[in-house]
Amino acid sequence: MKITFPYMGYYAPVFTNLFRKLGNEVVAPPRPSKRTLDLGTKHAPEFACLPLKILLGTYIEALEMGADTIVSTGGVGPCRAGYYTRLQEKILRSLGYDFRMFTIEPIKGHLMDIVRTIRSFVNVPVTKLYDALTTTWLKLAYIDQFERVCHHRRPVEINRGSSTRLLEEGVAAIDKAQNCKEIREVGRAYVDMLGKVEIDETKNPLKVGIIGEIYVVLEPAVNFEVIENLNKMGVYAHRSIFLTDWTRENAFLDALRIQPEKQIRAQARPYLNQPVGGHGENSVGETVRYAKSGYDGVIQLAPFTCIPEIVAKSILPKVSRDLGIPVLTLTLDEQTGLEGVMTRLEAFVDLLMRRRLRAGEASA
Amino acid sequence: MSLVIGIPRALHYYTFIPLWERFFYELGMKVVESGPTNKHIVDLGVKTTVTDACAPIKIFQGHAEALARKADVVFIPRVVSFEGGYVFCPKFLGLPDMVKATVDNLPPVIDTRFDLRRGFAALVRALVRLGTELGSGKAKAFAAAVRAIRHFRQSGWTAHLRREHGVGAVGSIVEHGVAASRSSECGVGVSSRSVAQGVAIRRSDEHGVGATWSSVEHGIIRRGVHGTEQDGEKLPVTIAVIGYPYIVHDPFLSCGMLDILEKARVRVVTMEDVSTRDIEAQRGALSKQVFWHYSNRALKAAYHLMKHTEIDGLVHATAFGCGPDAIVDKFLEIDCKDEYGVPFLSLTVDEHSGQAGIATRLEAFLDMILRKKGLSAFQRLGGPGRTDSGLHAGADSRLQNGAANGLQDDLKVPVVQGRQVS
Repeated sequence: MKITFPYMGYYAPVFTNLFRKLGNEVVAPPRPSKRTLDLGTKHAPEFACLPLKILLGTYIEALEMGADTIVSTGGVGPCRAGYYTRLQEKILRSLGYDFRMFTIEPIKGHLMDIVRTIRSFVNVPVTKLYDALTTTWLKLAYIDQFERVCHHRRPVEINRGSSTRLLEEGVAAIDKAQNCKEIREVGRAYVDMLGKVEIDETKNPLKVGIIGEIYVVLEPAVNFEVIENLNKMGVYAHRSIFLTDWTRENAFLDALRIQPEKQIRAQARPYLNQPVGGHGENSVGETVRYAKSGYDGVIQLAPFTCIPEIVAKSILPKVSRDLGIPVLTLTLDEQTGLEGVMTRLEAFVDLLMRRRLRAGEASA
Repeated sequence: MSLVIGIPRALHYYTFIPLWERFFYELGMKVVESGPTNKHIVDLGVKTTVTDACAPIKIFQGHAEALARKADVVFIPRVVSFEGGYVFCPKFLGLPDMVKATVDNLPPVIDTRFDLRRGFAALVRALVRLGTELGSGKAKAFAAAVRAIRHFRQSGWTAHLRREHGVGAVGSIVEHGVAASRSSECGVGVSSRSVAQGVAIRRSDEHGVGATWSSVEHGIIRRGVHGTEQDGEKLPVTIAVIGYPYIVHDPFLSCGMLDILEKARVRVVTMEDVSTRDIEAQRGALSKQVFWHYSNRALKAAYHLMKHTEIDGLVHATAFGCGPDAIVDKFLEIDCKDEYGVPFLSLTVDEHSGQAGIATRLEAFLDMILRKKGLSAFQRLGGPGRTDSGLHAGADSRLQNGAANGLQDDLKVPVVQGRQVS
């Protein structure tokens, strides 16, 4: 059995390692490229969202590389992602590929299904399974930690590229670490080093919140490295979603019937009083929170035709007016080009800069 | 002076209007509708919505805005679920919030939540809450709710209460023929049977209180099977038009698709012609149930029609940018081709669609089906007085629906001529 899975940012090598540890051969999914998107766009429905197209392309590339099993996640709606594995399976089968598809559904209501699914690709004893899962979780948590620190340092670093380099080194080192002890050592060391990257203390960078659909927020290859590009313009970008936080809140706490993200829901309530699937409610709630905690602006990343984000996008102008926080929506699809995104980002940053200057003059 | 409730004629209107209208009627309130979709309404909607919203949402906002000066309150229910396991599209869930955030000078919006995932009693509770919110007593609201639900049930909702196949399923309002009256220029004539059986869709007189329920001025949802067969002739071609009721049965949005087909002497069936029992019998066709209400019904209705009835082709009517349809469309495309061997045509409509484009595609599709069946165009056109322009003659329904429909007077909107391409 040669397993493949969706590619997602810096997390990809960690999952490769996980499936190896579980006693499988792994075909590591390639980083999404132009070809990935072309393949996905060619075979996916026109109005499917970008994540579906990218993943479909990724699967095709992985199947061509010899994979015969696909593992991905499901859902119960109303976001379309919950049905995507079935659609992808249908499309891939009609294209003549032969493979097995495993969908990991939410824990709530599908516990036995999950156990069954996981058992089919776990070929090691339970003790090893526990070890594999804990090390994976720890690695993911440290990668999130690295990124967080890096996002703070990069906008004001003195030597351009120093924190990005450290981040990449850190991810590679974490990937090599074998057990929890090693991971902790390596992790602490790199968090420490990233924290010591030389920065210009005099600068007070613009602060921008990044909200939107989880896949396009987490995958730099799809969102034109929007965070890195903002950082290069000297802007601090706070990403509202990190994989480990999200999984903790939405998979584990949800299964225990603990309402996750209570505060975010409360923040969103005056504007959107209903969970609409995906990250629609979060996008509205996070915007309110960013406005209240003194951010200069918010950037929403939404795949074209993403239903929850369209709901959020319709409501955000009102939030923006009421709370006085500029919001830029970047809609991403196969037609989106880097230059278009950069132009919009630069214009938005200009606007924020002017706003801040004007506010400074007014208070002076 | 009784309260005037405005109901936008779009989206879930097509399924739930008998319930809502009867309920308000029982409470002694007046109901005003926004009238059939026209160019003006579409323009209003396009101005306030985000560009990537789907056409039905844009049209809905237009309808809501058109009610601004006509109603005391606008009723935009938050329909979350009407049967266990199935929810509505996220845009339906966020609908009242989207409208409130984007449309200015709207009268107060009543956004009662209908979430029947935990059971049927939630419907009664929601209606009672709605009644009390509008200022009527609890007892009165309860009585009205019961009557409205009974009325809705009689209009074809029985399946839900019988709870066939374990999962309660909402029957469509047309099951027993809601108003299959068809416009007389179709040459088919008003089907008296369905009018007699038909549930009153709207009160004939919006200005008088003693309005009658029995009059069906025009059909909201038409049933192809009954109407066409009453002609007493066998039509050679049957085509299933699968699509959500708010697309297929909105003549403006669908560019008069049904008219075009009927004028071309095609027997048309829609998903409303498939009973809830038949729909739920198709559960096994999917490895995982589609979790959206309308998509679930559309997909399974299509499977039923392909498996158990003789259809010569399947047209999927979908709106530009429709999220769930991206999935439904691909499933239909693949299964029509690989599984059932049924000719398939996907027609995407939006606020810019032209009738000529739709007619041309339907015509080509029909020609292909006829050739496949070995029928000549002459046989298809059959009766005297028919010419080959049959298809295009129906093409101006977008124009007509503005001018010819009496309801248009409600809005006093000039109908813009000249939408027609070619």
